[in-house]
Amino acid sequence: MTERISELEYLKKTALQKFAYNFTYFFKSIPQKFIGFFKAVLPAFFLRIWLVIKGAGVTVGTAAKNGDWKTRVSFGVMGFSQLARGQIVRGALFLLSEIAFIFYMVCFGWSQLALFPSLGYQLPERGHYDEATGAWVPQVLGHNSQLILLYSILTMLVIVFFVFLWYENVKSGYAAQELQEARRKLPTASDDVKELLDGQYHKTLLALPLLGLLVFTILPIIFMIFVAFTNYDVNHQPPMQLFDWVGFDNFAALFSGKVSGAANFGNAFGRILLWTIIWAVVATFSCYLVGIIVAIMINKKGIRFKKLWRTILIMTIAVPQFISLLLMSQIFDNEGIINIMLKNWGWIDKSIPFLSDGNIAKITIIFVNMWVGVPFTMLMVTGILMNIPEDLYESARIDGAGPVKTFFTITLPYMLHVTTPYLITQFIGNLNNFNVIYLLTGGGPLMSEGASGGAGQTDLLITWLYKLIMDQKLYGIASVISIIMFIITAVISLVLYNRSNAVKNEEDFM
Amino acid sequence: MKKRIISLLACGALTAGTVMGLSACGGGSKKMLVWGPSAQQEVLQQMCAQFLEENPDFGYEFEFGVVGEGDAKSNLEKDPTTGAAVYAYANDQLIDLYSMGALAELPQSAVEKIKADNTAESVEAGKIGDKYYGYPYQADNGFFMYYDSSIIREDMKLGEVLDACQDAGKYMIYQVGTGWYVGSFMYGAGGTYEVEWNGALAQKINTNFDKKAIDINGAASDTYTIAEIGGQALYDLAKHDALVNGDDKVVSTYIGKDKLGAVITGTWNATMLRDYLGDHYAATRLPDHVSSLDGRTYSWKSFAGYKLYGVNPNFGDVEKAQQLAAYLSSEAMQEKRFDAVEVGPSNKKVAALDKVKNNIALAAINKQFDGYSVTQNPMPSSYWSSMESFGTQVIEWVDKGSFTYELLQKRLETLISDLTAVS
Amino acid sequence: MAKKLRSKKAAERTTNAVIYIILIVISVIWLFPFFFLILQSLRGEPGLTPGYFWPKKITFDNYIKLFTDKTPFDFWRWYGTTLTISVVVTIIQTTITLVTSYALSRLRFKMRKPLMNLMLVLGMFPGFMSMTALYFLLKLMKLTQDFGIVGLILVYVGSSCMGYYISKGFFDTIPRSLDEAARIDGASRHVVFLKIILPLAKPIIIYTILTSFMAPWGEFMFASLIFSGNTKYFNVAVGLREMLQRENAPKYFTRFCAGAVVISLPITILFFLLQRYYVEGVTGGSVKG
Repeated sequence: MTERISELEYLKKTALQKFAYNFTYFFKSIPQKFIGFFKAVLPAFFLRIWLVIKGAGVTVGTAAKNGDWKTRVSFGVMGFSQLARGQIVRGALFLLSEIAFIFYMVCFGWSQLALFPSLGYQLPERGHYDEATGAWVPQVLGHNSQLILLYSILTMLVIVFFVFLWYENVKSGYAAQELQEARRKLPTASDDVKELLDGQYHKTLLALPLLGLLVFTILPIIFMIFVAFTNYDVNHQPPMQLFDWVGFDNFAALFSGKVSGAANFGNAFGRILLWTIIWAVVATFSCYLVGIIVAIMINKKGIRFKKLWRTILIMTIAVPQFISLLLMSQIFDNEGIINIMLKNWGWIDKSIPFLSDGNIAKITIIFVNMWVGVPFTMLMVTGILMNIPEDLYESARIDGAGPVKTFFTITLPYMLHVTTPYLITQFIGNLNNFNVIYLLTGGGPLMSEGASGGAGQTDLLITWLYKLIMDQKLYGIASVISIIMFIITAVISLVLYNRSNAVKNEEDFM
Repeated sequence: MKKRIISLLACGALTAGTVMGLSACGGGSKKMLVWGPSAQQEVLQQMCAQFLEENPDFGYEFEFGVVGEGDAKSNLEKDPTTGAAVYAYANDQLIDLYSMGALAELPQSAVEKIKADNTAESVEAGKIGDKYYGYPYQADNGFFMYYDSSIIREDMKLGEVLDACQDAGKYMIYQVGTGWYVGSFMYGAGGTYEVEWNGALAQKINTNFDKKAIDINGAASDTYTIAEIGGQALYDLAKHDALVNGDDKVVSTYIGKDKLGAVITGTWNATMLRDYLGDHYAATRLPDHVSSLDGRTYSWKSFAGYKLYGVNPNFGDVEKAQQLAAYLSSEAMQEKRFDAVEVGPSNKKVAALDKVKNNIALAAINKQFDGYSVTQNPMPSSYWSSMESFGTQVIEWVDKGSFTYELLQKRLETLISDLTAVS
Repeated sequence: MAKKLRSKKAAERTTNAVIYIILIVISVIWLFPFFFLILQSLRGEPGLTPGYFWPKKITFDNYIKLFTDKTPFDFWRWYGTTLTISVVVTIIQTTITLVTSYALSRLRFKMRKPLMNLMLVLGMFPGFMSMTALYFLLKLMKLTQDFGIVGLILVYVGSSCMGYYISKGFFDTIPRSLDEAARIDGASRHVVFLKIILPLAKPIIIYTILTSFMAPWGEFMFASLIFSGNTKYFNVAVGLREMLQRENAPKYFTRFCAGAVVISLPITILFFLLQRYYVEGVTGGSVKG
């Protein structure tokens, strides 16, 4: 369906047409990319993991078969082989990590993991006054499904990490044995340090950042994915209630549009999705085009005070965004300064509902978003503008092209060519643009034709998701929606960053 | 001890021990967190200081959080096991707070005391089953009309009030699009809304909004339902040129502009309005209105809500927390609170004091609560979003001029089905 | 010919005039909110936006009260909290970002590509969906409320490696021949990083410092969760937002404006001093793709 056109035809197109072609091709091919992703990329990924595991298994097997008693003891007592062969620091670290792991599992990890299949069964007992004695019987918290789930995941990650350490221990223990048998010198602790600062430098550098990533990003995401398979909602809220596994019920509920606890859910979802997409397109391109035009105007020969203009615009980057957005919500209020001034000048009688009428609010939001976003584009574009070869403009001028024409035939195509990745990152960023909507309108006003799960007319999927959690407590459903959103945006950007054909083909511009 | 070890271990596993030292040195003096709204923060801190003076061996140091009575729930639900030990809440949050395990029942002795001291309605506002879960201290959570007595008379109907404002070049302020205010005309025409709860979940919702409306003489309308009378009244109000749809912020703006003729709001704006209106400062219950549908006169009702102190049972020392909550809602403290911020006491003796009786705003809210209000029981969140959504529609009709009676009827059907929908 | 040239010049002049007008209009639009903010922060009359633009009474009361009033809002303390958080976050985050992007730009190892893809994708997850999990993780470590500052810092820096993108782009532009020469002379990778790459990366270091210093001033979502309604522990963002809550706004709006000016001013000054590097960072790192 989305076959590429032939080389020859492609070369015949003008620059702008080329871009348009590539751009539409990119979006048209997204479904294909999706299928490709699940057909090819994912299996390849799992195959790769399987190969890694298999390779590790072989290493462990060899060590078990050919290892001497010291190596074999280190299967149980980590670091033993190294300690026995004089690699004291390395061995001690392995041993210590094993002790710490056992300690963690005994004191904490195991008790959580054991409850993982059931997510807990013990209900809390409310605190109350004993009727006979009148004494206060304290509240006893039962199992907390949420914490059990969270700490189980934490424990699983700790176990995975430990297995990895154990494998490294066996490998290094066996390596030490082999070196000894070959009568070569074993690396000392200072050799290890040197290696970590040179050959294995990436491990040193990335250990801490990746640990942070694991705990503060990946763990919560795994948690959320698990929540999608539970009935965590208003009626199953820890700590006073338990929640439980429900399989794919939430997915089924979402796709059938019958979500308990929110009437008109399906209707709201469709409208919000539509507005989210319109918003992302308009917000991205409005900032982009205006940013370029402003940059061109400032950079034009003969325009003075370039630095001043730029500095004025850059103010918006320097002031924390939440302040400027909260301020904007005041400025555009029905009784805000804009309405007041317009009234004082006698231009209007009644306030313009900048933020309280659905349609006007959408326009206001896009305008405010431009106020926030244009300086970024302007900054970024300024550097690129200088790179456009002057002779291109020269020849256009000789052909008698005016500034508007040169903009559309030279500047814009060149810009688009260089900044397509930036543009699509912006697009994805706007799909998930929480702050602007949340701080300006909070998603309001509500949809006027009926209560649609609290959905407002300016809600994006992401702010609506926030409401589903905060007001409606639909944790399970919200998790399902965010997983779906995540898969879509992730695949789009993966395809993009790994240089889709569309992006690659642009190298031949000019 | 075991817990400490666990926390240390997890810590070590997570951050390679970098933060271990910090988590180990917690503790110190025992603290008790108390929440109250920002306006009462100062007097709250004074009361707590006084409490410590009177109970020198209490053993806790107080910390304070600015959390309004309406925000107790949203602040606690993230994690009910932390948060304040003693906090102020509005009675419509009772069910939610109870079901998240954040409210401790009152000891028998305290129940007897509050029953003896406070109005029956305010005590009942904290009741679930046969147990009580709050120390009432404020009985004025409703709305009524403040007005400029130089242009408006107390016996005017709503339409006359609006016209009088317009003639004087001033405005009346009302929140057309806020859930709390939208239903008021429907309740005024005899509406009821009842919820049967199963835990925190509404199991069955009954409303008579589709029954015939009842006017001030107790006679039922021949043709129009409660919803129709209420919806039409809201639209007529919103459409009037002298009406400004806006919240407390707008009130302060219109004061700044010197354009305020009347405002429908609650006691929390009393000081601001008294300062502005000066000698012409007056307040009374919500005016009756003549329906544009059938020409009959209907009343206009407010919600009647109460504010109570609750004790969080997850706070270890519940007895001590109860002691403080009881103190903060005691007669002396209610008077002190009235002196400081002029809120309406629930204590019968304090309410009977001359200075309270002569308070114009409180006199008005008492008039409102005396037959012109419906108790604001806990509502499911769908109530608020349905009402707000209807309010938004009314505003849209006004803005676009697209109102027809048929549209209203259709929209009211949706409203009723939204209101009664249970999950 | 001369006539044509003159008419061309005239046309040029009109274009420029039009451009000047547009630029002035744009400047007014962009500066208006800030001007309004400063005016309001100096307004003596109470209440939200009054019915006029110019305040009737100019006063510094709002600023004075901001720092002297302790009840209910202790701004001074919030300011200290946020500054502490911000400084610590800057140090840790800059280190992590530079280290990560250097590793991804210069070192070659098996998991490099998958890692980059992973980090790219993870950033697309809605942040607030993680809040509950993070909160309870920190609670397990007792890093909420009293030690909320530590908890917040951990959360803010926890995922900083995901911001590798722009600085990696910058490192990519530093010629590889430099490292290779040093490697031939026997320098380890560690030495190359410290002695050769870092000194050349000044713009991107300052850019990273600037962005990581600015971020904590505007974060309110997680902060409000972690401090569980204990007002004195707030950071400025949560605190200022509290001032604009419905019931507080009429009384505290002017003070909010003063607070906003107080926190924006140092950041803005810092920003303008280092603006050159910021621009270099953005243009150097982000365009390449």
